[in-house]
Amino acid sequence: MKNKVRIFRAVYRLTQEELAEKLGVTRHAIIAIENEHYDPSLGLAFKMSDLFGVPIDAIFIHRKELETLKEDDAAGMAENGSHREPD
Amino acid sequence: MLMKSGHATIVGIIVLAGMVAGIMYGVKTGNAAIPPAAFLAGAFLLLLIKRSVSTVIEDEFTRLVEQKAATMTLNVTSFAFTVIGLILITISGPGNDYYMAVYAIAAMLITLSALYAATSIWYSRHLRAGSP
Repeated sequence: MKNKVRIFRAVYRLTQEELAEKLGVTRHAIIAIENEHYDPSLGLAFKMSDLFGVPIDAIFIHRKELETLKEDDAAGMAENGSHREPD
Repeated sequence: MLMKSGHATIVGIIVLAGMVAGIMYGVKTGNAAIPPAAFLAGAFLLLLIKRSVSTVIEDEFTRLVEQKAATMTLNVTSFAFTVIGLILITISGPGNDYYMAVYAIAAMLITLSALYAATSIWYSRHLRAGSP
């Protein structure tokens, strides 16, 4: 699963250690989540959501959702391209 | 008294060294009461140290790592000892009597398998108990 934990951590100016402490987990867990090697439990995802003040789906992006977004982008670009006025 | 992770590691190593020294002393003197007592005291102290660490040292990620490590260890151990047992039973014969070792390995593997099955059933039932 894709996630934006690193981005949100940077926005809130937190170190991995500080974020781990706030969430009550180890720094190894934060590293694994940021590197997308480990998907956190629902409980931990909710804790992150509360901490960053955004919905869970703003932090974690399911691959299927990502593919849909990419398809939408591609469709949008194709549509824009077809309606482009000739120079 | 709460300790930081680094301090707890140092204290843990000291306790572990003491425990090993106690066991070795008991074995050397031939006193059967000392090794189990040293082991139990050491294990209890290590548990206290683990509980007194102020930083988080155990979470869902470390538990997942432990689960994977335990399963892999069980699989590798079972596989390796099965191979060793088969080799021993093959080369056993007059003058090379490894049957006792093979029986010991077989008993260990059967015990491990039975424990694995029993704990799997128990955890499966236990974890399902809360669901509707």
